[in-house]
Amino acid sequence: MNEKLSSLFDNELENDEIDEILIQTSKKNRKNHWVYYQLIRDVLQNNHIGSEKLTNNIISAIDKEPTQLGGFGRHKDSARVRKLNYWPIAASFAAFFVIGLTALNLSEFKSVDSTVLAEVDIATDLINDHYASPSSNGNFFIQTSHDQSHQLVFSDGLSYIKYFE
Amino acid sequence: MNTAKFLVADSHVYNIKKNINVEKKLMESRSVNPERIVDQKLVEKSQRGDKKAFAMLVEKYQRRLTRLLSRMVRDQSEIEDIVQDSFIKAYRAINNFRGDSAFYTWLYRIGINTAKNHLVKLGKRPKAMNDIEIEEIENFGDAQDLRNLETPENSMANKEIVASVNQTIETLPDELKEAIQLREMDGLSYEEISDLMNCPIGTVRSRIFRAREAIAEKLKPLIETTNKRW
Repeated sequence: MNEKLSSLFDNELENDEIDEILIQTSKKNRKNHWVYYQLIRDVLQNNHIGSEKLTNNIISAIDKEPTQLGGFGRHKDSARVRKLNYWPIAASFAAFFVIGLTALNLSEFKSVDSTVLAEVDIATDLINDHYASPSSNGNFFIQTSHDQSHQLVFSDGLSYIKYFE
Repeated sequence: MNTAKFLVADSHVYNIKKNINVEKKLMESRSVNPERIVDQKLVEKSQRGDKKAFAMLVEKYQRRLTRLLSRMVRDQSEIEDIVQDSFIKAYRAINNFRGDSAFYTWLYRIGINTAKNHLVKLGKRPKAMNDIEIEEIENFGDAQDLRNLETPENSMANKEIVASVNQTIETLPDELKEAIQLREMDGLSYEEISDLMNCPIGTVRSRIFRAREAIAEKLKPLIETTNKRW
């Protein structure tokens, strides 16, 4: 695993290997090697300035800081966070869509009903005859045809046909 | 006969096209800076609360930032404070880093602003710097100025560290010594080293690792007394 850390230090790992080694480094004390690798590089590149104490001070100061959580990195997790933020907007659109569709259906239903009822002239004696005897609750529909006849059909099966001239 | 010739020519063209496509893909994959990918992943881990990941970034960039700021702030005693403040500010603002630029670019902007504010607070006029000047500082490799940061007590320790690294390298088997030198001193990639040493990339990876581990082993007694942070 330290060999992979060495390759990570040289930016010579594939994407999936980077994820794997970073998960491992969080669990174990592998970053110790990272410090040595950096030190060796500094010495070999003639850049060693003996600033280990400064690094210690910075990391101690960071340890005292509240842990940062969240973030907007371009990774899958943050993409998921951003995706979640769209849910309220998507839900609003869905609600508007449902309300709009319902309103449209209601208006269509209303217009169909009103058309049929307005055109049919039901004789009151037919209605009275029906309410006088049957047990039904009086639900009915009207069938129209091209021969100018209108059939009034009650839900209990009784029907009356009237011809209009 | 003519048909056969035509078919051979056709397959040749196909192979050329295929090779061009493969090379194109390789070029595209190489155009993404691998260092930036690693840094981005360390930043993302820091954003998810992993302080060790941020510590790796501190370890990686502390010297570069110190070198940059030592060109802006002449008083060497103030540089360390500014570098530390810069990293703390960067950590506090890490959730605002979206990866639009390289992490170090973002960090050195914070460093420069921190240095300017520091100088203004002291009533000193900050030296104006444009991007070209910053780039020049970035490319200035000599650590001579930074050696002024050394105190008498750590000067001796530093000399011991340098001597230990150099002595250990001399004792390494030739293939390990060559691999680590090509990587660290010449800055070659594993692929380039593999071509030069005529061996697989996996072998290069292993040789560099073994060389580092051998040197680190010798450094441990010198470092562990002062370095307890990990």
